[in-house]
Amino acid sequence: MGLHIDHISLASPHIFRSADNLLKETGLGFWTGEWIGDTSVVIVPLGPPGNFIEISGFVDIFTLRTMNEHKQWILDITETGDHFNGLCLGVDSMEELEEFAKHFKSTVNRPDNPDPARHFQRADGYILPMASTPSGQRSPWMRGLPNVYYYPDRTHHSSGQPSHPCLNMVEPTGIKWVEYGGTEKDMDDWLGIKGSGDLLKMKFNGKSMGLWAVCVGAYGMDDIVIRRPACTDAVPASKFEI
Amino acid sequence: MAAVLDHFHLGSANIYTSIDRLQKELKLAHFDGGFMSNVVIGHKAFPLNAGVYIEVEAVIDPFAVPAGQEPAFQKKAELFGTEVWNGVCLRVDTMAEMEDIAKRLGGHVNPHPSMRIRPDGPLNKSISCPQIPGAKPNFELGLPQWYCWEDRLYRHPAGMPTVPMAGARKPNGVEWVEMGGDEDRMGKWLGQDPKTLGMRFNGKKPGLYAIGIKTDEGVIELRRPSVNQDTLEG
Repeated sequence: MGLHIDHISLASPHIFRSADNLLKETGLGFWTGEWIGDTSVVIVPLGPPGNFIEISGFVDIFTLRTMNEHKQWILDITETGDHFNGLCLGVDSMEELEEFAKHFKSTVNRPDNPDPARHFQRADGYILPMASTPSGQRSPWMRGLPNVYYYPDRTHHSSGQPSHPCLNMVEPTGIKWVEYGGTEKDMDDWLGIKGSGDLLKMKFNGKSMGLWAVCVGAYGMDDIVIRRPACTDAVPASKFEI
Repeated sequence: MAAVLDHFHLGSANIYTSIDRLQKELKLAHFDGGFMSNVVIGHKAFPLNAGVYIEVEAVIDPFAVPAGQEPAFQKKAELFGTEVWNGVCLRVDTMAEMEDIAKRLGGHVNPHPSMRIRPDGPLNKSISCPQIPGAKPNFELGLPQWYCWEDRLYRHPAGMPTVPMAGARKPNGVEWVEMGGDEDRMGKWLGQDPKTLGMRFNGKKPGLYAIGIKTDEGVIELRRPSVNQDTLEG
């Protein structure tokens, strides 16, 4: 596939309610998803080639007694409701991911970290191995920029798990386009590529960086456009400039 | 008709870590129950068959409840570092029975039903009693409350499909229920012999302390602190 959109993160103050709202708004089903420590993600599969939205939020409110920059960011962007807070690209091999790590002047979060607390876990106990870059405390998401993932075992990909069966559920056929802030040059510069717009099905709206909308194809019906403010609309990217 | 056991409420600080811990300890499977639309609580449950289930709940929306005003069961779960038993919930078949029970105890049926939105969309509604003006909540007194599902019993959590789990035991109801307080007080509250519900009493502060779950591998015990304990030791 080469570089592609893998998934989208939608930050929520209440992941169950947000998933139910999105289901009622679009007919897109979801499944319980994964959790890591104080945070969980409900997964909304979007179809081939393995796209999904993860609706992410705190599930342990006591974690907020010990604040850090990342938790404060999540709290600030969800105070006024759901915001798109991450675009996650995918590559097909660890070698490609290492190349992106070099470009980002960073390292790879490895999929084989022996500490189970560093991995997402599913309700059936399955530990999801995935690698990503760049690493570090301050996610590029905070500046409205995507990061890149590689899944060593794509047969367990989050987009392929069965959704809770719902009446009149839509069958999604994948992401058709995403609307992004900034310009194509901004994105090209960040990723070190040319033509990110065509390659990643991105339309640029010139607003603050970050994801503003996603269009999903749907079998036998009109495309579905999901529009939410980008995280940089709530907390400016300039707060996290390096 | 005499009331029967319906469900047991476990309070949690983090329902994901609690479910993970409980399913490993009990070798029982659970399902994702969605959320309570009117009380901002996330819900997961272990169906035990025979019309009984355990629900595990916590508030997950950090904006819904000001810090320090979390439900008592959630604060105790965080303080004790484990789930806490919040209470026992019984079931009757009709609203007429609910009205009778509420009247006998000097209260009324709770006008605000429990409204849970399941992940697959439908609303699960159950009605509770008694609400007694001027009295502390039933669970805070270590006393059970009653529920009625009216004509919605066909969607009862005790019969829901679970997340697939290798080596899961097959539960089949509850053999016994360990309560604090004393049998005489409980009998007066219930209006029926507590033994008909498998209740036995440990003499500690009123509340729920343990249940014995019948399974295909024998009776297994689930013991946790009661929400009414002041310290983990009691």
